[in-house]
Amino acid sequence: MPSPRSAPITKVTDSCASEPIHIPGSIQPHGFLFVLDRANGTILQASESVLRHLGIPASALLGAKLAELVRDPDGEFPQRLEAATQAEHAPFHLGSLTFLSGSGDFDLVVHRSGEAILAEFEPAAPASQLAGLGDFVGRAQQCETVDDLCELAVEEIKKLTGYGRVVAYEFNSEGHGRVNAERHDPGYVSFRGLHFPASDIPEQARRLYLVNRLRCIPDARYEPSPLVPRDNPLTGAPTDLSFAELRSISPSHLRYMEAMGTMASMSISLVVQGRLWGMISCHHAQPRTVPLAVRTQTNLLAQIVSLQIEARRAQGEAARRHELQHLTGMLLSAMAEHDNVPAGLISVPQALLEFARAGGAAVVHSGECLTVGQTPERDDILALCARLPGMAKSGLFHTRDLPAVAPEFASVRKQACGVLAISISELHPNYVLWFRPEWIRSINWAGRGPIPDAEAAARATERTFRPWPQEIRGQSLPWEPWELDSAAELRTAITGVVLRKAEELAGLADELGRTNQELEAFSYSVSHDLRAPLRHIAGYAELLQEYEGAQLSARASRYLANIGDSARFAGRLVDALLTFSQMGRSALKPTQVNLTQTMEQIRRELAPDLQGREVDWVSHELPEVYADAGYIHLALRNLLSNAIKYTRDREPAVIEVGAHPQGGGHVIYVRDNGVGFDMKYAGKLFGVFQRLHRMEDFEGTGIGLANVRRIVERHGGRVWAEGVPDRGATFYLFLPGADSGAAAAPSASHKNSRS
Amino acid sequence: MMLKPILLVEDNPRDLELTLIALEKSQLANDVVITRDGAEALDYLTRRGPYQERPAGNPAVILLDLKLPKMDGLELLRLIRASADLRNVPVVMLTSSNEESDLVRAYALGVNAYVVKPVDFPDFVRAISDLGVFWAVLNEPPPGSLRRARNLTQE
Repeated sequence: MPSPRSAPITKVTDSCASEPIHIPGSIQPHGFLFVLDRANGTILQASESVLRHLGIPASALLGAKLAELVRDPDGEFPQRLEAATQAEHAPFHLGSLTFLSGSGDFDLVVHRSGEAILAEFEPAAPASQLAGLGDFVGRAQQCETVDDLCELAVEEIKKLTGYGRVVAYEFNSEGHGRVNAERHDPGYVSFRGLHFPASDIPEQARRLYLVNRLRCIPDARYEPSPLVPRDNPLTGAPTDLSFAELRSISPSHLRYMEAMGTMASMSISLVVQGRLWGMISCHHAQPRTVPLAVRTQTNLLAQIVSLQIEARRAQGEAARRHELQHLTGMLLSAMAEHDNVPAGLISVPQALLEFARAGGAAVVHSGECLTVGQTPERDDILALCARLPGMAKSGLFHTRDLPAVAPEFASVRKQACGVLAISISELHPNYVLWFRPEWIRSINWAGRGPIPDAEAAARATERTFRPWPQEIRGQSLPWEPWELDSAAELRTAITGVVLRKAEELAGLADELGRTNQELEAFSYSVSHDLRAPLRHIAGYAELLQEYEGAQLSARASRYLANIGDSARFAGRLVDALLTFSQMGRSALKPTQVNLTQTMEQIRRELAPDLQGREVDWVSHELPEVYADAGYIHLALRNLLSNAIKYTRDREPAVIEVGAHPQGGGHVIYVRDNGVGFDMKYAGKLFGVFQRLHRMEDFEGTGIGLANVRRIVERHGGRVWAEGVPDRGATFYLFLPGADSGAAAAPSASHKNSRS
Repeated sequence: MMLKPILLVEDNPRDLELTLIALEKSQLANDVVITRDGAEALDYLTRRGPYQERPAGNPAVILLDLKLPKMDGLELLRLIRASADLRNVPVVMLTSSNEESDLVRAYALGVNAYVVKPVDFPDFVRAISDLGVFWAVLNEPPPGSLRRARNLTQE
């Protein structure tokens, strides 16, 4: 079964399509034609049919001046002829006239083609045959739909012309014509609802229909009347008859008429926005002549219909564009509200779907895929997104037939036969996608479906017009131009939103930088200005004790000692805070650090704290890590110092240090059998000034573990702890491998020199 | 025997008093010249203004606070190191904190030592005492200092 989508009209190369139908060299004999020299009005070519109408052989007229052959009481014929042929390719009805020889009136239509003037004569109709158009315009305006309008038009044209059957059809985007209106006399087969394949009207015929909008064939069995001589003697080439009403018919079209059982026909183009929107075709079983005046009226009527269709389409399009603007606004405000493109779009699923009249939609952002409605599976959507960069143009991709452009997606045809996708980031593969299901419908072809190739078309000479049903599959509903426009606009708006967000982020980073500087200035002044008075308090308390101690009561001495202790402790707090803040600010200088050596050094440093203590050390092999040696030293020293501190009432204290590899890095742990802690406070352990023990039990500034955490996090690692009250605690720190890059990352903060 | 004086530059009266006590406790025999800001210290060193009458000669050591009114310690240090007459005088920077950037800049400007004043008073006395002994007594005085000049005249 031929597939309709494989027959784009431009590829038709059958005999009809290649036939030079604009230069047949002959005309239909119900009139006659002169080709005049524009310079002097002499006859260059004449059709043989002039003999039948004027009784003069064509050859006898060559070289004669047309103005001298016709009755011209005013002597103004030459001027009128010249005036009417100023513009090229614009046929003009110059009225009726009579020849000096012969009898009867002839309607004369003239047009210019290059330096030739084509003068076509037809026997004039009696005035009584003319009927008015009445109130056609008024009634046309009242039609609700375009199909109604076409019904009205065919009815009117049938009345005007008296043809046995008048049909209107509309071309779809592939060029197939659907009969949407019909009036016919008894005895004529109805074509209503039938689809005429695009191949029925070859491309060059369509082009002629666009420029020469009315075509009349009074008798399909006519004898073509050749021009004499065959070529224009001035150019040596056949005369272009594109705009000639009498132009002879292509033999294949005559066969077509014969198959249709039509002896006479007329077709009028419906041109909307410069495109061949549709046709009105009139058929008659017997030969039928329609006078020029009636044809002119019919043409006028068809133009009214064209304009009406154009107005309706413009209205419909404007309404849809307006709706799309409204939906765009909704989507944008949802994004603004959510401060997030994907969440914003998904929060208004109806608007998102309606925006593209889609069955499903997806937002793919940073590898995440959010969907609404009927969509393919997430993995299929991500796979599709991976293909989009190569298929999208200007950030937009659309297809009615995804499997045709990407066969691997044939399985998702049910949800995503049609895809419209916009890229919403210049840098990242982020997309909004809309999906339309396969549009399955049954149509009745007029006799046959589209012919995919020339040979088949040539063979298909036996043509009937009986309904030939076919189920059309493989495509979604088409993406309309305004839908694509709106999608492009939405894309621009979203990338604008994203850009604005990036700017906001940059602004935020600036602000953060300023805040950091302020914080730095703050800790600097805390360290200077707070430390000085603490020093003074401690100093004077000491001096008071030293110089006046003898005169103080024991209680006063104790108070004085407390003052000194408190001041010194406050001093330590200030120092610890300053160290903590410096740790967050200063840049890391990572190198390969041998932790076994580091740990031994720390143990030597802490030896004074172990005086008089019994400690069992369990030391396992420690790895080399890529880290800032000084900071890692500080962190491990803190953990070890804590272990010593919290095991001081254990006999013996057991402190174990070890490590194991994990995820490309290392976990290092310090375990003790000390006082431990309740796991429900585990989350507080690593906070600044968080203490789980009373000051008098275990001294400390409450900032040591916060330092450990900050150091480890600056290295891209993490810390955690396990403990059981009175049974001991284990502190873990994970340091990632050097290749993770975290340890080598430059510090986010920067130091400013101060003066 | 006349020892070169110690020049103390300190604006805070309490720090001044505590430093003087610490110097006293360290039992250094040197006189202590007190100036209260960088500008006054520079006047002393260059024998200008109120100090134009003082005898010539540089101090044994300058104990210089970092934060000072009018001209701060770093600025004064820069001028001392830029002066041909003064550049060899030992300068010990006394400060409240070990803020890294100050430290780096002080060493860049050629400070001889840098002391973060401890909160604990006995520690402070110990630090001042050590410094005084090192710079005012043990350290070989640079050429042009009073002691060298005196030694030369005695010979």
